[in-house]
Amino acid sequence: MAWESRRNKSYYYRKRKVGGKVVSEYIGTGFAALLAEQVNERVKAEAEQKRREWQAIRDEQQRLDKMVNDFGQLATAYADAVLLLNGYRQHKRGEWRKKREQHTG
Amino acid sequence: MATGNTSGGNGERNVSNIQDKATVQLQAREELKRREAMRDKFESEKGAELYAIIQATNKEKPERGDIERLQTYLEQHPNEVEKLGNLANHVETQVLESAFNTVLTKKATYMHMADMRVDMGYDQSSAIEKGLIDNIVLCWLRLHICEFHYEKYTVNASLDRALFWEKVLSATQKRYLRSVEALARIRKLQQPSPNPLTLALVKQQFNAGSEAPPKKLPKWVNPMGK
Repeated sequence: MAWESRRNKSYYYRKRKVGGKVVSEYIGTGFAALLAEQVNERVKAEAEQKRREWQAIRDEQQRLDKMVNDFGQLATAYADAVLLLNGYRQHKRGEWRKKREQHTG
Repeated sequence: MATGNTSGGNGERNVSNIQDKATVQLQAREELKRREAMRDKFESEKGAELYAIIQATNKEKPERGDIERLQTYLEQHPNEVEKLGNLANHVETQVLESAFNTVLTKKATYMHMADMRVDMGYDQSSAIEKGLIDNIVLCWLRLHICEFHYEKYTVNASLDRALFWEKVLSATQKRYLRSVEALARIRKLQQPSPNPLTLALVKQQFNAGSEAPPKKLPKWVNPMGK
């Protein structure tokens, strides 16, 4: 949205992209244009507020997910360590199998 | 005038007192946040170290040095496994505080989680199993909250947002399943393998019990008649 001066008078235009090109759309002048500008600013502010709220929700979810994930990795790591020390190995990142004992002689 | 000045002075003092209190509270909160962040970082670094050793050891033919390194790590950190419970409690509180506003819902969820622990035999389990049970309970809590959010936020939501919640829900479901599998695996592998003689006897018993001829299946189940 922008005010443009032509022949000492101000006109309110809306800029938008159509097919990759910027198109200037005439909104009005005088009181109606002022009103349109205010409405537009309020809509923009509300959209910005919603965007921030959504970002906060996303950040919070990601933070909680990371915490739970880290804890899970730590707990599983101890369990894996115990299995490894007891002679188990993970077969192709899947099933845990006990390593066969080799008999000599 | 004098009264006015005095009351004004009191008012200023009150305001400055409130400001001081607010500053102290803010500083205390920041200090707490800093400590929590440090603890989280420390825990994740510790996890990363152990994870790296496990990655090196978890091979078909691991090197003796790696196995020794793993053994040394566990010997050097004997109480770390037991501290998992405290960490679980910290994460649990954070998740609960973030998700629920009322004390009642928090308390009800907390009690359900306590019941879950009892059902899985928390008190009779080893420290490792306790860690895994804590993990299951945490994953369940996260899944429960995510399902709740999914219902709440995906109504009339844009495609981006719906996709976000879809991904979060899918990831939490997978994590929950993995956590249950981890406990089941540990419990299964901890059981002693049966004696071959006992196994043979059980098999014999089983065969003796099922001497009756197998029932013929109805034609619609097996149309080929095989």
